[in-house]
Parts: sequence; C-alpha cells; structure tokens
Amino acid sequence: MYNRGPVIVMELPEQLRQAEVKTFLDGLLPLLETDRPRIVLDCSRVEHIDSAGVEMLLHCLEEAMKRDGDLKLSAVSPASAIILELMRVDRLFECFPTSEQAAQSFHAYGTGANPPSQPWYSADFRTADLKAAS
Amino acid sequence: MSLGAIIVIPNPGGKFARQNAGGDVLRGESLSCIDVAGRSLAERIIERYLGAGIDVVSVLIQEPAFGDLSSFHVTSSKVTTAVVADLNSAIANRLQDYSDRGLEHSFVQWTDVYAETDLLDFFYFHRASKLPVTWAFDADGSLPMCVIDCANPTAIDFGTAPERPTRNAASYLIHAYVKRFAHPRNLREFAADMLQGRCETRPSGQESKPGIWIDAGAELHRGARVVAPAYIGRGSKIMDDTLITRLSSVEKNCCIDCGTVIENSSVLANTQVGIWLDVCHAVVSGNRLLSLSRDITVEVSDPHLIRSTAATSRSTSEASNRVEDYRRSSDLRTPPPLPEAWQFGSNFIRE
Repeated sequence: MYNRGPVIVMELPEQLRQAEVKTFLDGLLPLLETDRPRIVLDCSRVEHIDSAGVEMLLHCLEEAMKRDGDLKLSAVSPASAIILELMRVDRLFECFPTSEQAAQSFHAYGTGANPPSQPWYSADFRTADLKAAS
Repeated sequence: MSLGAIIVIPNPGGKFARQNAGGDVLRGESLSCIDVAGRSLAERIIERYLGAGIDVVSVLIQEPAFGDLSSFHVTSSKVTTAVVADLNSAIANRLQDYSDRGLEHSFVQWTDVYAETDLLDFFYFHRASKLPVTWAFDADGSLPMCVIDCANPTAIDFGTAPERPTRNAASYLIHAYVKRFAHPRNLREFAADMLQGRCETRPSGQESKPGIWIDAGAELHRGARVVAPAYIGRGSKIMDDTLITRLSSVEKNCCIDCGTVIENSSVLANTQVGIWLDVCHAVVSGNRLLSLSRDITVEVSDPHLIRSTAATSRSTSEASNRVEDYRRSSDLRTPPPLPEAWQFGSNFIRE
C-alpha cells in the first residue's frame, strides 16, 4: 500500500474470496472512514474473485460514496472483468489501465485554488464576494 | 444403387481444431458431441445421411475420445459405432467391408464440418467424374468430406487428404450451408444460424410461439420472458424474472435462476446460472464461461454464480470407461426412453 497525496492506492490480493475479504477489509475500512476518501484498488495481482469479493468492492464503494469520496479500479484483468460484468457491477466502477491513471483521474476535474464557499445552486452563491467588493 | 457412409468423430484436437484459450470451456470434449439446440452436431449429420437413404452408416470415434458418448440418440439399425485408434486402417476396413457387401460407393465425412449439400447430387457428380475419390469444397476451401469408390480406396491418407487432395481426385463445390467447427464460438454461431433459419436443420422440441422452441419437460416460470428467437432445452428450468433474448439457447437440464439475463449466449447442457447475473455474448458450460468478446475462458469457483448441475463432474477416467463400454459393444446403446406425451407442452408455465 502506498499513499500519493490525497489518493490512496491499495493492491488487492491474488485471491479475493470469502477467506481473504475480511483481512483486506480490516485494512481498508479505516481509510474509507476519512473525509472524502479517494481510493484506487489495484487489481493487477487478482487471479480469482468470487461473489464475496465483489460484494466487498460494492461495500467499499458505498462507504466511499457516503463520505463524498470515490473508489476506482485499476489494471483489472480480463478474467476479473468478466466476473464484474457477469454480476452487473462493471458499470458501477471507473476502471483504468494503471494505478497512475486512476490516481490522476481524481485530479482531472479539480476545482480552482479558491473554491466558492457555497454551491452553485445556492441562493447565497458568491453573494459574500459581491458584498466584499461593494 | 447402394451407398454407405463413414462418419468420423475426431478427438478434440481434430482436423480443424486450433489451440485456443477459448477451447477450455468444453473441458476437452469434442465439439461434435456437444448439444446445440437440442441435438449434437454428430447426430444431425447422421440423420442427414439416413434421411438421404444411405444404406449403412458407420460411426468411427477417434481415440482419445472424451466426449459424452452417451448423448447419441440415433436408433436406426443402419448405424453402427466403434472407437478406433488407427483411423486410416479403420476407414480402409470399413470400405473393404462395404465392398464385400456389394456397396460400390461410400461417403466419408468428419464431424468437423456440417454441410447441407444434396448428398445424392454429390454422389452423381462423383460417379460421372470416373475418379476414385471426390472431395468437397466450398468458397472457403476444402472440406473433410468425400465420396470414394469402395472397391478402389487407393492409398489415401485420411489424416491429411482434405488439406492436400490427391491428384487423382475430383472436386465438388458445395453452394449450400456449410459450417466448420474449430472453436466453441462455432457452436454459438450454429445455434444462431438455426434460430434464424439460415440452415435447414431446426432446433429440437416444439415451436411454442414463432421463433421460440421449447423442448420436452422444460419449465418456464410465468414471470420469465423469452424473446424470439430462442431455444429452451429438455428439462431446463427458467425461473422468475429471467430474460432469455437475442438468439440465446439454453440446452438440456439447465437452470437459469431468478433475475438473470441470457443475451446472445449459449448455456450448454447441465449448467446452473445463479441469480441476478448478466450472461452476454458467451458460452457457458458447467462452471466455465467463455467470453466471446474477449475470447478467454474463465473458470468460476463460486458455485453461487455458475456451476454444473451434473451429480458428479466428468473426469478423464469416466470418459475412458465410456470409451471402453463402446469398444465392448458393437451395437448402439439402448436409446433413452422417449418423453411421455404429457411432457410435451403441458408444463411450459408453472408457478
């Protein structure tokens, strides 16, 4: 596991089955409980994945989204991709050829240096800036 | 005029077989022994010869044969079956036997190819050519199919002859439907061709609605949706909320569990597909799935997803035992019992 700024890249084990899921999840859950977690799961070593492994991925994605974060997959092998398609979850994950590309994708739509304090749909959007200017 | 036929069922590394990752899905079974829309390719070929009025048909199964040999349901007394090691000598012996019985000509065909040519026209062409052998070919090249003089078999090496036809041979062009079988994707294509009516042969069972063939004993839940054209095999169960669509075929004794979509795919015999899955553009057999879009086979270890419904998995030893059984018996096996009348169509929809 290595950390690259706000994006955490974690390697999945070779076997992602019922027996391995709990151990892996114990290490991943604390990272998901941070604010806006940005996680990349590197699937390059994964050889076998079953329904328990897919369920774990979905659980992690759910936890990340709850905290306004995201979870992306990288280096998904064709065999793993077939399992994801078979279980209809392939559409839920962004997949990238490499972990670097996956990590960069978190910054591709980055906000400016001084993001507005209010969302664009808020009635108070940029009113504070306008008041200060006047 | 008396005609014979020799049908050769090659081993999985047959004449057109190529080494391909996709071939793993069948666990080494011969493509011609796999049921497609209810019947195997070998059965369909044998039926074509019997339908053309051929007097004697000899089926030679080339060793090592790991196919499900019990799947043959041909019950005609005109058909004999044998497992052979040396194909050349076995064919020569059969031709000699035919000649002794007064048969002048014989077809020799490998089940690597299915051709819907007019067999009698093929024979008349051969007789007019006055050459000892006539090989068939189509627009894509030579085919492992010929007519030969029984009394004058010449020294043909049947292991290489179709690829390198002898000089003293005629060639017969087939314009009709031809399908070569070298990869499991060809099974899928053959099923699609049958369902779309591109060939003369049809799926087994009854056409309950236009384009939907349901075989005996199949059970479809009221909430299941089958979009034509599609085939549901003998004894298969299609559960609630499933969708079978886009030229899909579900062979015998399969179970498609709730909410699953089978799209443009073939589910081979004795396969259970779990709940809420999406099987698209694939061939599934037991716990193996061949993705035709990626051309790779995945063995799924999780029985909740896909698995075999067979009580015991097939093994090489079991297959060898079957081959031994065949070797000991010169006649065909006792045919399986025909379905009772009540099994046809009475239980298509069951809660």
